[in-house]
Amino acid sequence: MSMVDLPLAPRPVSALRIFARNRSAALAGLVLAALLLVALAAPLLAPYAPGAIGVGPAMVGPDAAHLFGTDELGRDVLSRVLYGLRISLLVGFGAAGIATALGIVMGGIAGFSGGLVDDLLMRVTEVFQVIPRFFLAVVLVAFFGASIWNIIGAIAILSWPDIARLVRAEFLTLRTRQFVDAARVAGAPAGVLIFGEILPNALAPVVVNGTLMVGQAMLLEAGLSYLGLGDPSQVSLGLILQEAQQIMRRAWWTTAFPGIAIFLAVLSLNVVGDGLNDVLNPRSRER
Amino acid sequence: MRGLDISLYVVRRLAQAVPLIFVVILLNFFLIHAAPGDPIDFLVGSMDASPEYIEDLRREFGLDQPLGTQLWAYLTRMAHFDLGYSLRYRQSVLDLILSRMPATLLLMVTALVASSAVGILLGVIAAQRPYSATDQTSTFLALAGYSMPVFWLGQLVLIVFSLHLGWFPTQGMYSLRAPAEGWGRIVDVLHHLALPAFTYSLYHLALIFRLTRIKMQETLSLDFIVTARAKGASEGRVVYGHALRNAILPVVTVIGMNFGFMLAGSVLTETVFAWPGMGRLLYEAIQARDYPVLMGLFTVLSLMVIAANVVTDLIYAVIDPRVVYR
Amino acid sequence: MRISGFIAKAALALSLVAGGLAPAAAQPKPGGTLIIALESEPGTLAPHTTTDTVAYIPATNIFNGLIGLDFNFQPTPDLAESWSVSPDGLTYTFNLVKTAKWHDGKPVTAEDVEYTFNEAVAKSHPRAASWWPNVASAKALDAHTFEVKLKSAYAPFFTLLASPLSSGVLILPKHIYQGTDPKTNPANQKPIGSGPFKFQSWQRGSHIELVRNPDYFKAKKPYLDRVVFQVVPDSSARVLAFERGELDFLHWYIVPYDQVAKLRSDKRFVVVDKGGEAPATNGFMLMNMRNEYLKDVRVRQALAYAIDRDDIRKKALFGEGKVAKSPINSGLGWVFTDQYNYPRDVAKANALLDEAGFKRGPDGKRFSLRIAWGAGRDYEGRAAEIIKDNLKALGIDVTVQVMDRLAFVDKVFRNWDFDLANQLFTTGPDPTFSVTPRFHTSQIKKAPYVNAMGYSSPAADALFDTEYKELDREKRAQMWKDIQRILMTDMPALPLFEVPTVNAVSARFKDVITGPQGYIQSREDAYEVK
Repeated sequence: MSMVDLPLAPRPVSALRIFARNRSAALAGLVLAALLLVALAAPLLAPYAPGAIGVGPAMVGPDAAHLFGTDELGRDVLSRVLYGLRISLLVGFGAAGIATALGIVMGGIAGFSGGLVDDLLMRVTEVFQVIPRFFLAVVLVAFFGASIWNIIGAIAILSWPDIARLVRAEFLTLRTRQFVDAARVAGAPAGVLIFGEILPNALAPVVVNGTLMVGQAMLLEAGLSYLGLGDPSQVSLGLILQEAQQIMRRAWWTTAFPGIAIFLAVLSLNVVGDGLNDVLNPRSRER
Repeated sequence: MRGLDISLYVVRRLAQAVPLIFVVILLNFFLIHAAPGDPIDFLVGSMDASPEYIEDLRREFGLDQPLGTQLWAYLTRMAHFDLGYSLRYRQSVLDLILSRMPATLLLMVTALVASSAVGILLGVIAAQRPYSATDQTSTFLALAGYSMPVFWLGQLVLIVFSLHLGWFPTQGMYSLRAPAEGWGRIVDVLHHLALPAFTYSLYHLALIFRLTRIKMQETLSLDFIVTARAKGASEGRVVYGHALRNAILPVVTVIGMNFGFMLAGSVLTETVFAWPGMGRLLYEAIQARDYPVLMGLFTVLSLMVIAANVVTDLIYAVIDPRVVYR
Repeated sequence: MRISGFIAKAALALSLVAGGLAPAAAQPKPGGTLIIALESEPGTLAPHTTTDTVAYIPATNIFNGLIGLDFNFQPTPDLAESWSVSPDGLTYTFNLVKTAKWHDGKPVTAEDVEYTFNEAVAKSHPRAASWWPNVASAKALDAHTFEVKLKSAYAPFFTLLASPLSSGVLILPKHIYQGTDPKTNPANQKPIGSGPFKFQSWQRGSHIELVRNPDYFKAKKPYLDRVVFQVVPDSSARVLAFERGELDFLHWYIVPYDQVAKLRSDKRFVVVDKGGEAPATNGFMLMNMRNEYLKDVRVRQALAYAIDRDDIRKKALFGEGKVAKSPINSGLGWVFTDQYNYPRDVAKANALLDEAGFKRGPDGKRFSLRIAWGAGRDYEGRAAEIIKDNLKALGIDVTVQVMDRLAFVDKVFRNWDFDLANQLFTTGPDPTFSVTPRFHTSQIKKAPYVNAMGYSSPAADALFDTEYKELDREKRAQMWKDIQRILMTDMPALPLFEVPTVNAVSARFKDVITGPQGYIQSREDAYEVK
């Protein structure tokens, strides 16, 4: 590398490439928006009630009458997928929202304050963290009953320590950085330091993990359903997959469509998370 | 001076672990006992039993005692490192756990190493050329495995690689028809390990990949990298010597955190592939409400997670001198 | 010549059709490994302490009973080579084989049998309280003669002794167990029996391996070198492994019913429609008679008329099995009657509900109910969905609740906190020990798998209390038919379906199933076709 190259480093990113990048995030955003819309409008779009039995013959492949085919009870798979998506997204956003809020508050306080407060809060997150999470979900759901709200609550309780620890780890390194010291010397109060100076800089991994968590919560709920702990009155995509596993090799459409739906939803969430990261992360924005 | 700091830190963390384990035990004890379902009902089996018989069993296991007494008895035993006896197997809990541990560790360490290595490598490559086709392709590949339920992924993997291609066995850890000996046995176990480890690492690849990629992108734009390049360091040295060393900190956190989650999260993979590990022992113990096994598993898993956390923190020190141990 | 060739071919075809069932003409050859799937890991290998079915699947290969059962529910020899009953039905004498040995080489004697009855079975088996109090004495008369005296006649005694799941009678070695607690003896994990196979190893969570006992007292048997029991918890993985030849035997209640038609048409496999006669299991919908609606017999009858049980058979069980037309399974041919069955009649159901005073509201609804089922058997869940749909048409709103098995037992059988609940009940090998405990007034107690419905009928109780003393099989059968009439009229539990008896066996093995307890029997007759 010659001295002439110096002004060019770091590698310049062409506008076209940013655009291409934004397009993939934008595409994922569109897919996600479409899925959300479809989920919200499920009652209008679904040709049948999701639990209605015998609306068609049992286990018939996709055709004009049933676009996604029917399952072993003659239920319309399209209608079930639409309603299932609604429930799965509700679980995902509900649980991740609660967990992220809790995690930021706890992690931020611990990382900024240090000392006794840090120790105490970290011990609390550790207690949650060292208990096998999936097991705890199973016990909580078994204890409180397999209702959709209990599942959301259980997943949120299990997930917040992730965020809290990540926020704290960022705070630990950031709070000794110059720009924080500068603000501290300038007499900024703790709140301003936490939320104005450190948090925006610590947010990138939180956003990454938060968006991943929406998908993760959807998948965790699916895992609970696989073990037979789904809410049968609020059928999620995971529960549809669980019910279909027995017949999946005879009637691929019963597992393919709900599987693709949950895959698309989680994948687009993840890609959108990337895009958000670019916008929210000050260091990438500078480029 | 730093060495002393670190050993003090380790001692302090281990001392902190004792009350932590205590809290974990307390929490789990009450949670388990609050959950509906009676272990006696499982022991009795699938037919009717007389109430006298049920009461006898309850007395035998001390389940007729008040909760406080049961807890005290348990803690007393724990203080002597005795994890008690399984209600279901009437066997030492420690023996049960130890008999299941190798299978889980084998599956988990294989998956953790594979997903970390591939994830970091892909992440670094993707970060070097942001928004390129390589970046986007590897992003998609890494995310795909993370975007479906692991049991569904496992079932698809089984159908493709086992049923249709016939490359791998569908379940278990050994070939039972003609048991192999010596090296053949190791090959046999690896053959059975391939599909569950693949499924499990695919699932964890994304987390490590994405974080590596983001951190590397950030780091590559920092001043010291510019300086390094200016000094004429080779690109390989810049990327792997300077940038990666700097970017890997949060990645290490995530790997360390994953260790604990993977232990407990192996339930689904182990069930799909009939892998005889701790995850399934855990789930079977939940189904049977086998309190001593559950409590024992908690304690052992908690210890393992704490150990992983301490190790993670120590790796920080090696990689990032800015971290201060207090 | 031509004709006899045809006959030979026909006979061959027949034996192929019979598959793993009838003893085939071909001479069994020694050798081979049979791999049997288990859905979960047993807690013990000496299951005189439990009625956990899965524990008996390996145990019946390690231990012998006193007697076995044939398909007509008549006793067959096992450790006892002959037996006699006194005319009053009170004294049973068993003559033991003299050549039987324990796996450690010691001889099997009547002392062992005496110990098993008095110390292990009487004190450790969960069901002992239902019959042991009627035993006056159980003792060894000499080294190879064993005698049981009863206080009053007990018609199903042979059936009981031949059904280890119901009685726990698998003979244990006294010299290993004497002076110890049979529940916790370490030998329960490494058993020493007298059976066709010896314990070799137990790889926790993975498999249990048994090997051929060369000194078995039944000549030439067993034929197999090894029997391995592998734990495969996931049902779809189980079928995959079976199709790939990693497993050789899926017993009747872990076969996925949707795959049965496909397995039947595949030459590599044989589906044996026998071997489930002894458990004779029916799926029931229990009705809680404490519920303000369900306490009215007209409401319960309305539900029986309204639920489309043929649809449940077709969709929930994929057309396998039968509609259950009685609280007793049709496999128990000598007592079963379908004459009190309810044909589907929605109009009559509506009329009954109107008559009971539960008229439809302005929104078309009458009232709401919950239906619970325990996770694990997907067909019970599908049945619940069909029931929900059927009752909706009747104006009854149904909420489906699912929970794990023990939470279900807790809710339904211990707290009686349910309206409707789907539950399987065995009805055999004799209704005395599998039907009476579910419907007798004395069984209204907070314990698993008893009368959670709160059903009480003095007429039925009177029959329950006397039928087992009737030694004439015809008269006894008539009493059970009267019981079926009462139960179907009062309708505390609607029989939904008979769990299909379909055992899937690899075609490479024959005589895997030879009796009515096909899933928990000894595999001493099984052999591999070379």
